[in-house]
Amino acid sequence: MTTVFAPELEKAPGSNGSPGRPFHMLSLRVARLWGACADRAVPWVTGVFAVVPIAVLVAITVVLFHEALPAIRINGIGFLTRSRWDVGSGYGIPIKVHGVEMAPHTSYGAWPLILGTLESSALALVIAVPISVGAAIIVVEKLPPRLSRWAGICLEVLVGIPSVIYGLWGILTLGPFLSKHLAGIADHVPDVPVLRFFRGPTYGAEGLLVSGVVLGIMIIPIIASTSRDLIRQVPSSAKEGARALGMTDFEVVRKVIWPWTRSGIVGASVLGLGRALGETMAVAMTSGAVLGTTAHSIFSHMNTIAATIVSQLDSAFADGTGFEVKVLAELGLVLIVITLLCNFGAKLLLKRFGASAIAPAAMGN
Amino acid sequence: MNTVQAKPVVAEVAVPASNPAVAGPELEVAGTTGALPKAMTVTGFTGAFSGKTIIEDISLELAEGSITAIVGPSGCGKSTFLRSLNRMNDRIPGWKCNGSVRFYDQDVYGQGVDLLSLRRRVGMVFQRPNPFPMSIEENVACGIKAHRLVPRSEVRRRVQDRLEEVGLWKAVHDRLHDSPFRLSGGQQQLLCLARSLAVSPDVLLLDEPTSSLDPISTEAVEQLLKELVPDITIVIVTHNLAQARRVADRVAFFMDGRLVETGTVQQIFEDPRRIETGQYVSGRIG
Repeated sequence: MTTVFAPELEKAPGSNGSPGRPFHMLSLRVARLWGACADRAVPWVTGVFAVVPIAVLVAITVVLFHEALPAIRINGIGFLTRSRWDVGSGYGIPIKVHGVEMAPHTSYGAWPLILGTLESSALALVIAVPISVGAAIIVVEKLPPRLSRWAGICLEVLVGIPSVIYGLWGILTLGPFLSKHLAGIADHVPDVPVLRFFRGPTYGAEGLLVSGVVLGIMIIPIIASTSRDLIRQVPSSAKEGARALGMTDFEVVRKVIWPWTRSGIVGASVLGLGRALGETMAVAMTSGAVLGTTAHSIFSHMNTIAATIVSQLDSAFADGTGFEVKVLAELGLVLIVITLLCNFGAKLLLKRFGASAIAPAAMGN
Repeated sequence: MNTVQAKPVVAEVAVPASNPAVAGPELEVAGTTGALPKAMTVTGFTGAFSGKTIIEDISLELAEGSITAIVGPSGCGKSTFLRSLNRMNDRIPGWKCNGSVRFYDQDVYGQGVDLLSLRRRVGMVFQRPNPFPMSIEENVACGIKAHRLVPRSEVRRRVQDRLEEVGLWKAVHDRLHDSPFRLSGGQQQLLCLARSLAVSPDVLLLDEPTSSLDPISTEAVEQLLKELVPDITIVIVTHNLAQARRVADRVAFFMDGRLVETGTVQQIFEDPRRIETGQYVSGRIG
């Protein structure tokens, strides 16, 4: 018991708040032992925490891959380029191809879904990034502190709105509004390459444009709140330096704030893109849920991978052979790959253009 | 001290004898040198943040081509005063001021003042080096480009001139496209000086420009300041009395938000007329 070296404590019984009783050496020993154990445990525990996200990603991919393997074998690489989506005759006698059972006359092609996913997400980014970054700059640089705090709270509330609400709003309000007011313009867009995509009948409340706009609005809070935090971190000394040089507010943004936050804002946009690529419910409600064709114009009905998985799930479970479920798993795998590719693409982009080569090392990568 | 004597700028004309130091309001006029035009004239200037008065009733004249050092204990309003000269306080919430600041014959706080061109002509260098997140060359060039001071083809030449002027050219000429954040603190501050000089200011305000620098860099900056006059009028806020002695022509002593005394270096350090000034320069207060 006395091996613990704490002479000053030994000599002062009662000084630890319990008058008259000798200092309890055991508690000190236990505390030290506990401390030593905790020190040893920290690298292990943090190591486990660090591995968990990677393990989850790997596990999901492996399970999906396993689930999708029969479909991958049957559909082949053509799955990515084919357009036709036919679940076949559910009442026919199932056929067997390479040992895999499926309904007769099936054809599964993911191309329109891949394209729809990319198109709607790209549209969302085009809408969301300028608005988000502009809003973030105004919130940090222009609004008085109290208003700026309120704007921040609003942004956070927006993140929390369920996507089904966005979907409802899209189909009940935004869709009819857009189709009504853009119809006149869409008719007059010249029929030349590129521009042709913005021409044609506006159909109704659903389609690529509505989905894209809804997605854009959904990811604005994500990009804006991240951008706001980044812009707040730009040292005020640099901004003051620019103002002291007689630069306009716009020049301060362009010369100081933008270079300082560029790489972070690209990161925030990728975060938003990830959300847009995977968004299911809002798109399922506003896309028009057409299968088998790509969008001819920005007003066309379309579909995305995520929306298709959820809307086809019922029919897939009704497929007695279970093949369609495997096809949906394959679709999920494609979506994961697209998301990962987008992430890597963004990283590559940053490296290529040396976004942060000039900015100080302290500002992330 | 001998450098001070050698300055062609500030004549040794003393404050009018009729203004005895004791009872008079603190605003005995600095540099009533008559002949020299005043780059800036401050009269009865008072400034407050959210109702709390920081500087009160300051009156000061800055003779063209002189170096004025502003000294005083921490929190006496030196920096606030300096920042009011080119309206850098305007953006700080709760800032209110009255009184007049004139830049030559222009009212700095007047209506319709073009803040951008005012700040080009009344530049500022800060306590800590604050390079912009762009290449070394671009740091110096951006102000020139923003104000379109020279044709594009001559920007490079101008950048080199300025970098040579501050003595940085040799060190950076082969890495103009590198990040300025890889330079040493002293080099970064010289770069910031070059950046401020690149837009051809008439007045340069320096807020403790050497307080984060090592002695050698400090000497480089001080040497540069001495070379810049009389083309540029310089105001330098400093905590370092020795520095004020080395570089300044005139010294203004601030305390508790008021301008206590101004005078030539010699007068302030050797023959101060106010007790507080004497105590401060001899190290007994502050």
